[in-house]
Amino acid sequence: MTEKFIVLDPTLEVETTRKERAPRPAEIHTVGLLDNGKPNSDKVLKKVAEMLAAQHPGLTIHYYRKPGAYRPAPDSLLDKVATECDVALVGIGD
Amino acid sequence: MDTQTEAAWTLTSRHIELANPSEAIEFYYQQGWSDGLPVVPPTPARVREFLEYSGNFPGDILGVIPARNRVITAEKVAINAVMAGCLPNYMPVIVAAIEAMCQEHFNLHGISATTGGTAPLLIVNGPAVQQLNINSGVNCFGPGVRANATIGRAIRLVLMNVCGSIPGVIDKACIGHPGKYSYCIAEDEAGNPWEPLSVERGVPAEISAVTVFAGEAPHFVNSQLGGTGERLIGSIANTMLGTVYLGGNWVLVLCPEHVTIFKKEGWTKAQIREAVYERAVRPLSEFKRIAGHPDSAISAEDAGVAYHYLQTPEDLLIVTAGGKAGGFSAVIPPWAAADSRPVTRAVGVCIDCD
Repeated sequence: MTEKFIVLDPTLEVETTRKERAPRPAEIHTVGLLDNGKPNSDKVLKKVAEMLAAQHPGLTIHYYRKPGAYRPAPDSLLDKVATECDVALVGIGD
Repeated sequence: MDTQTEAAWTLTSRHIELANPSEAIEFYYQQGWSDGLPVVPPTPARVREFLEYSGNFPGDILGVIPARNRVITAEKVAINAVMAGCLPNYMPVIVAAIEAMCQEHFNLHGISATTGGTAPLLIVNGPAVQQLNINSGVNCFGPGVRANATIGRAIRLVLMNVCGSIPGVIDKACIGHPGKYSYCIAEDEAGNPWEPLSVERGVPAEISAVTVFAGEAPHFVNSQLGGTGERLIGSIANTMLGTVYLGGNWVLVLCPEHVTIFKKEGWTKAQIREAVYERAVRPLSEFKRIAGHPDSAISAEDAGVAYHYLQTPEDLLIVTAGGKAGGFSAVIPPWAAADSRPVTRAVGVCIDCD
């Protein structure tokens, strides 16, 4: 019988809880635009807001900005966006 | 051993059965668990040796990365340290480095995801330097010494395998730099006429410490012909001025030849910092132009604003290291975004526990 060589997994291995997508809302009245703080993100989102407003009169648009471009958005900001808006657009580019 | 202690010492990582070490090396490559170099297969017995040396239970949490929902345990660090080729007595330094990197102001998530591509530089002080034979002299940033090569490598393997900083996945470094393979030196305390880095930063002299700094590659300060401290300050500042960074700490590694020049003229660290702060400056308009800003982002007033590369003199960390021959010091710039601060942590003891 050949002796087996046992080694260990170096990765995290923790089972993460599966998250399902939020259900698609039947109606959208309020849209949040979350600026990731990178240069020109404000210009891109402003243009998106103009296009949305033109295509959907009556839509409420809120604008938010991450306090720092190089750190994750704080929970308090994400909670605020989730509370105040039906959906949010988030830019993740550089 | 009672059942509770036995449970606490159990290794919970998945055990993988393979035929032999050679097959294991190839298997780890196939799984994407390598930094590109062959790893030492981590057997349970070897991993235990590392944990016993540092006195950690396998499940001890050394740090967390909240943004990635990741927890770094002693067991996983020990596994990656074995893979790197470390000796068991390196484990306390590695543990201290991981704990330091997980401090909030180091911003581990940011520095290991950014397109900026920095690597955590480890600078070791204190008795551990002699005990572990960590190189502070000739070729200290280069290969050839087990401690430097493998301690730095262990950090990288943890970042990849445990923290998820896989190139292209979370690690979006545009070009990266070779320090990402391994970036670990000791300070040359014998050749340091001033206070050791760790002592300046609050650790008692007789206690080993590691300082972690999110650093770009070293930029050589090439000044070979002797000269004066004033000329050296100019060379150091000129090297910094060859880059474009917004604030943050910088590391200045002074080689023995350059330390000798400063020492002969009686410079203190504070004086070196102040002088570099004053000389590493250019008009904000010029800085912006070099940094690639469009003309529309450069105002007329900017020409009259002095942009200092150091926000304050104290932002310059001074480390003494290098071989005795050669006038090559180095400036190590910070992460471009500068939202990461160096952390110094005592090895094996807690000096500021509440």
